[in-house]
Amino acid sequence: MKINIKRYNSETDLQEIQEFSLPFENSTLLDALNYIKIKLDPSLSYSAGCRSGVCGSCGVRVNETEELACSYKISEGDLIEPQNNLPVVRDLIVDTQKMLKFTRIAKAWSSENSENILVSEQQVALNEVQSDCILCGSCFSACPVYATNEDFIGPFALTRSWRYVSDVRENDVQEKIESIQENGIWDCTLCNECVPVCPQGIAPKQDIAMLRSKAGIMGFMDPNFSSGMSFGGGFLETFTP
Amino acid sequence: MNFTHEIEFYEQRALVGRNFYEQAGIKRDQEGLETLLKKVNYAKVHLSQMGPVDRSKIYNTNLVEFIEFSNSLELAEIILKGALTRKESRGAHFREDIQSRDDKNFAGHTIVWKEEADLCIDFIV
Ligand code: SF4
Ligand code: SF4
Ligand code: FES
Repeated sequence: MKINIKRYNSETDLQEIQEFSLPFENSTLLDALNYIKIKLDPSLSYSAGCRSGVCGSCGVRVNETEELACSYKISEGDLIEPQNNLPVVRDLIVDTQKMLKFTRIAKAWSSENSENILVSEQQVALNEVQSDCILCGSCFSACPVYATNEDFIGPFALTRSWRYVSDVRENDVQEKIESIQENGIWDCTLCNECVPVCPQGIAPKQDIAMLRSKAGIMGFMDPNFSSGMSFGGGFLETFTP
Repeated sequence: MNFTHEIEFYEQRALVGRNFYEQAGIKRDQEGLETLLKKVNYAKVHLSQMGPVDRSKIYNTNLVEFIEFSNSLELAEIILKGALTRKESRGAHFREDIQSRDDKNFAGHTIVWKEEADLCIDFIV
């Protein structure tokens, strides 16, 4: 079986698509990459860790769709490329700093926990799925908005934001919703590209829609519809969280 | 040290790994452990001929894996010498040649240290 891999080396500025022949079929992409590295070309570079779909470090694109190398089964003629929307370090390795930076901008973390609060099973279920994110970056890579807006907070950080905004223990929801107004929830085109690629069954698009309605309830408005109003000016002072 | 590439370390890594699975798993005996120790020593002695092919300074996973392999040989020797010196069976260390437990000599941690290049082993009982 033959597969094609996009190579990139900043030292030699080499950028090419290289074909490799494998003496087996029916293997995961990660096993194929390991075979190539060990037997054919030790300079082939890629990231991997757990080999079992848990750590999220082996995200790549296969025939223009995001996949985990350790879960994907190879087919004849597959084209393997690094993820989109991130700088390529070498071959299939991308620098994820940019993606992680957006979680800081969105303040997508637990800020201030309510004390003595009882959490029901239903309330735990509200963000159980989002809590399972393995940081693989597939959603981030699939999002077409980055082609026109580099500063878009994006599906990865926004789904994480919903994880904390929907947490009944979180006291400072206001701050989080404020942080995702600019280049955030309203800049998503709801195209759905980020949904099918998530290996954990998370649907960032839906979470962004949830954040929008939460923001709406809190008095924020889609700037595209608020003619004449300054950005974020939709916030009602009378609102009490 | 100057590393050449005459022996492929990936092959040695697979060999040591497979042999460890077979001879240094839960069931082990003196003969198997000693054979394995020879293989580990062979790899250690020839390490300078097993250098990585990739000489790049950017995200060189070939080099990282080589360093990991070299570290794993250090640990392999400690595990094997520890198992050889612990002449008893205890929990997941089952010596097929010495199946009984010996609390008098071995009811405690294995302590390993290096003197020059030699590993020294003792037990805190
Ligand atoms: S639904 Fe929104 S976040 Fe998801 S890929 Fe489309 S534009 Fe990006
Ligand atoms: S939301 Fe899904 S696709 Fe996005 S980083 Fe997390 S696990 Fe990966
Ligand atoms: S290697 Fe961990 S998810 Fe693929």
